[in-house]
Amino acid sequence: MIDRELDSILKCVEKPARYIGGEVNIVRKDPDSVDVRMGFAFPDTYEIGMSYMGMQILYNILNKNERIYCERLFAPADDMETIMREKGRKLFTLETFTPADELDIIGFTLQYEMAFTNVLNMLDLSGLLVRREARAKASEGGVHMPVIIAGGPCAFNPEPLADFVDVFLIGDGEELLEKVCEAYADAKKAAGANVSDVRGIFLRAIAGLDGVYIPEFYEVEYYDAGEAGEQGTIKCVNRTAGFVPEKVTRAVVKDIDKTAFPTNNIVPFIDTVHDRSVVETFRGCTRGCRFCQAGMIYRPVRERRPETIKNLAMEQLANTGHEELSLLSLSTSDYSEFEDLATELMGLCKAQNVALSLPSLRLDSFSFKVLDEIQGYRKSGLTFAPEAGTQRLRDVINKNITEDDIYSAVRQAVELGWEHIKLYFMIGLPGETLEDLDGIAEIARKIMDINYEIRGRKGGRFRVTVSVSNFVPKAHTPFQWEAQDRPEDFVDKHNYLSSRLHIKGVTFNYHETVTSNLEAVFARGDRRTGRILEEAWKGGCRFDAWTEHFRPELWEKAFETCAAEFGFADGKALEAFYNYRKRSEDEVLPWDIVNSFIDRQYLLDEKHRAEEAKTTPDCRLGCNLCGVNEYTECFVNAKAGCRG
Amino acid sequence: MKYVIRFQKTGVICYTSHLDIMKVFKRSFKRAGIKLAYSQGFNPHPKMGFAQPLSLGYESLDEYIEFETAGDAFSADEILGRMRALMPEGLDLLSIKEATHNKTLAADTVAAEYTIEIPLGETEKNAAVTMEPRSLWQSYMGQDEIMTLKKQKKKKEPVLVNIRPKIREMVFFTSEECLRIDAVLDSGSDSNLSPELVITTVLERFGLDIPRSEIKVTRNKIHFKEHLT
Repeated sequence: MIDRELDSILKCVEKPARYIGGEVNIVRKDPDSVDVRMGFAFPDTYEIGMSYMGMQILYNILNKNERIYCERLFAPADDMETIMREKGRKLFTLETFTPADELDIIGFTLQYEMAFTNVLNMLDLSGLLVRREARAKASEGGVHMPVIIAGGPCAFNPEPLADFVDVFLIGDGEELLEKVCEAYADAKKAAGANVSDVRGIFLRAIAGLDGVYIPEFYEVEYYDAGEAGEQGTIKCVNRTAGFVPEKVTRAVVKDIDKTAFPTNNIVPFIDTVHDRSVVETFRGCTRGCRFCQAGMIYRPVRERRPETIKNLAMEQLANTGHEELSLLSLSTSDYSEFEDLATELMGLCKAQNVALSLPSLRLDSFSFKVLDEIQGYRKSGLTFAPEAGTQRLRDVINKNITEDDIYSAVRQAVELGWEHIKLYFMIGLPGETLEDLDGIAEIARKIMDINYEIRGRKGGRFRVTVSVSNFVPKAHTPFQWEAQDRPEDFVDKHNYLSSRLHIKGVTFNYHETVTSNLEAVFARGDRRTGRILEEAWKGGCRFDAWTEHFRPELWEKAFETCAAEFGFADGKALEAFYNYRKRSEDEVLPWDIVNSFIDRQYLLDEKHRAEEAKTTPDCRLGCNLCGVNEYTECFVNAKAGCRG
Repeated sequence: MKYVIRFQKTGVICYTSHLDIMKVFKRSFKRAGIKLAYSQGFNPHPKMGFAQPLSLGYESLDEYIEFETAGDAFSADEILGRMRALMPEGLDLLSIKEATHNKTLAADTVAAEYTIEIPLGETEKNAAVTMEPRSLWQSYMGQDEIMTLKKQKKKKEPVLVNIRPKIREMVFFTSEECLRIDAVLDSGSDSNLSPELVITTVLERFGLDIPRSEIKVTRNKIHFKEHLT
C-alpha cells in the first residue's frame, strides 16, 4: 500500500504507472528477512530502463539469493521530480516504496555518458550527498549511507564519476555483483553494532576481486606547465592503500551458457521502448571494427548453446505472454549455428503467434530468406551500416562490408519487395576527406538507381534514409588516441551532406552535434571532468540524451567555471583539451587503470594499420593476438572459431 | 465460447490505463494457455473488450471483460482459476459467466455508479458541517441547468454543456473530514457523463478549493440495459 501523499502525487503526474511497480513477475520479499538491500538504479526514465535486459539479468540473479533483496530505481521525469522536491519526497524503490537512502547499496548501470547528470540527480533526490568523500565522512560519523556502486560499459572509463561513486564494477556483472552484495551482508554482520565500520570492512573485503575499482584508494597527479609532459595530462596514478591492485582486471564470465538468464522477466504495464522476450545468444564480437568499444570490451566470443537458447526463449514467452521474441548479441548472424537456430526459432514462434525479431543481421541470402519469412508482406525497413562512404575509409575503420555486398543485397531486397532501405554512417572518422562524404551520397544514389532499374522509371514508393552520427572516440579502442571533430566541423559536414543528399526519395537525418562533443568529453574524461558534470547538474542539466531537455548553454557555463579551476584559458580550451587534441601514444590515459584484457600494443598496432588503411581480418579466421586469451578462453561453446 | 469475467481494480494499479490493463489480460490469457478467437483481416486481434473504459486513477469494484475463446479446452471455472493465478496485485477476478448475447457489453452499458470522496480542509470543514446533506443536494441538484465546459474530442475549444439531465441519482454524505457523493451517471455510447465534470461543478457550487489530486473516485457498479451479466 502507498501512503496518501504518494497517492495524490500520482494523480498529478504524467504516466503515473512509471512509479507504481507491481508489474507481472516483480519479486516480493520481506525486507526484514534479507541481509542486504540493493537498489538497481537506471539513470533514465522507466520506459528506457525497463527495455534494458541487463537489469532483468541481474535482478533475477540477485533475487534468487535469499540473503539479498534487489529492487528497482529509475529517474523520475521532470514533472515528478518537481513535485517530489516540493514535498520533500525521496526517490523510492518500485518494489516496496522504500526511500533510496535507507538501502544498503545503490547500484547504477552506466549505459551512456549522457545519463551521467541523472546519476548525480538521483543521488540528490535520494537525499544523499553527491560527493563520495562527503558521504564517506557522514558514514564514519555513524550516519547510514548506502554504498554507491556503478557498472556497465561506461564503467570502463570510470574516472568522470570517480568522485561520486564508491565502487565501480568493471566487466561482466553476473558473478561479481552477487559477490559484492554478499560481501556487504558479511561486513554488516562483522561490524555488528559499530555501524560506522561497515563501509571500511566492506571495501577491504572486495578490494581484491577482479573487476572492483575503488577510486578513493587512488590519487591522480597531473603535469603542470613547464613539466616534461603536456600540461593537464596525467603524470601518474598513486595507490594510497596496499590492498588495492595497481590495475583493475575486468571481471569475466567464462561460460555464459552456465550463467543464469532470466525466464521470469518483469513485464511492464506501460509501453516501453522494447517490451519483448529477449535471449542473449552470445557475448563478444570478432569483427574488430576500430571505432567500436563494445567490440573490444565484451571480448571474447562466448556462446550460449542452442538448446539453452530455445529453452530460455520458450520459458520466457510462457511466463510473460510477450508477443515478440528478440535475440541479443553484437552481430546476430555470427552465432556459429545461426541458420539452424533461426530456422528452429522461426518455427517455434510461428506456432505461438509470436513475432521473431532478428536485429543486426548480416545480409546474406539466408538472412533474406529468414527476413522474408518473418516479415511477410509487412516489411519493415532494411538496415545497412556501411559506417563510411568509401572503401578506403571502411578499411581505415576495419568495417568489413563492400559496396558490392550492399548493392547485391539491395538488389535482392528490392526484388523481394522491400521499399525502405536505411543506411547508417558516421562522420568525423579519423582520416576522413570530402571524398568520403561524397561516397555517402553516391551509395544512396546508386541504391535509388537499382530500384529504378528493377521497378521501372517511377520507382514506386521506394525510399532511402541516410542517418549520420558523429564519431565519438571511445576508451579501449584503437581510436582512443584520436581527436574528435569540432562542432563547427560537424556542422559543415552536415551542411555539405545535406546539399549532396538532395536526391528524390532520399531522407537525410543527422545527430545533434553538441551532444556528441559532450559525450566525447566523458567517454575519455579524467577524474577532473567530474567537476564539469557537477557544475552542469547544479546548473540544472539532466536527461541530456533527450533533445527536449538538453541545455547546451548550461554546459557551456560549467566548462567556463571549470576552465579557471583547472588552469585553462576558457571553456573552449578545456573542451579542446579533452576532445580536439590527438593524444600522444605514450600519454597516460585516464582509463589505463582498467585492464580490459586488450593488449595496449594490439590497440597501437590497429591504430597504425588504420593510418595505412590496412584491414585486419575477423579473428575467427586466425588469432590477431589482441591479448584476451591470456586471461580467458575464446569461443567457449562456439562450433567455429580460432583456437590458436 | 464467449465469457464475461467480473473483476475489481483497486490500489495503486488504478494508475495503469485502460489500454494497459487490456494488455495485461491479453498476455495473461496467453500465459494461461487460453487461446482466444481472433478477428479476421490484415491486423487480427483477439476478441476481447471491457464494458466501459475506466479513467486513469479511478478504482473500480465492478468491471467486466468479455472475450471469446477458440475452442473449449477449459471450463469456465478452469479459465477463472488459471487467470486468477496470474493477475497482478489489485486486479481481483470475482466471477465468470458464459455469455450468450450477441451485443457487446459496451453497447449495452447505460449508466454507472460512482463514489467521489472529497477530503475537506480546515476552512471547508466548518462550512460543510453547517450544511446538511439534504441542503447540499437541493443546492446542487435543484439547479435547472448545471453548465460546465467540456473538452471536445475533435475540436480544440471546449464547449459549454448542461450535465444535469445526465445525472440520474445523487446522494451527499458529510463527515468531519470528507464530503462523499454517491452518484449514478449516464455511461455508454448513447449518453455519457464523466465524474470529472461532476467534481468540477460540485467544487464550484460549494466554493471548495480542493486540489483534484486529493479527490478519490471509485466506480461501484455498471448498469446494463438488458442485464446480460
